[in-house]
Amino acid sequence: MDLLEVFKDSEDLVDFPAGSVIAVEGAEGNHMYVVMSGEVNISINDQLLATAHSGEIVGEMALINSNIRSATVTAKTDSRLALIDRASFDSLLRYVPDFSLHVMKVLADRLKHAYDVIGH
Amino acid sequence: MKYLKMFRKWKDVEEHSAQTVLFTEGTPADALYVITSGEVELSLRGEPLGTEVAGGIIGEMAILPSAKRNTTATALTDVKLARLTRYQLEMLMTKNPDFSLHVMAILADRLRTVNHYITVQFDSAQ
Repeated sequence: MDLLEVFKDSEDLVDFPAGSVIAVEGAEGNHMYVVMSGEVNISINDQLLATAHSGEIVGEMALINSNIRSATVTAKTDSRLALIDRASFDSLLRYVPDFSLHVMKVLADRLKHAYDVIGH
Repeated sequence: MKYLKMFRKWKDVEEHSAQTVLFTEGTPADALYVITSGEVELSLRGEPLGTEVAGGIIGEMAILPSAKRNTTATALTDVKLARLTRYQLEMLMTKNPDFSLHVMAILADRLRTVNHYITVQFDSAQ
């Protein structure tokens, strides 16, 4: 699913300069984000887990079964993110099956990556 | 779990007795399973990661094409499992948004568990 295309006309675009903190592990979160441009780092306990590029999502964990951020997200470069709030997330899941499948694959991919981190 | 009824009528089912190893770390993940009865232990490199009961999903790496099992699953009791291919899962999710949410919640919970495991490992390594 091409999220860049879906969210290109979003009214909730926010710019984060390089180095700024987008989400903090353990804090409450009510949005997920689509990286529209730039790169963001995902880390847990100060350990870099992954870098998300344009078209990828971050922050989705706080919208699934919990509102607590499971990781810290920081802008690696100047980045533009599209915000998806809880209500929009719920309606996307309900009415756009491709979005559900996309999020599910992202979660599975993150899980695979986490297992890889353990394995090395 | 309200989907248990559906999976108890699922055509592709497996039954295994207690102590059976259901799948092993590193082997191809060709299907995932919904536990319809019994308990399954997931372990990682011989260390227990958690127990899944009826309604739980195991083998979710099959969501990704050509993925491998990242954990070993062992039946703690006699178990019954409904076997789903990636295609079957995608069809169910497409038709049933509530089921999508259920699957996502399971994945998110497992990710939290594994992330916690990573945090503990790094902490003890430091």
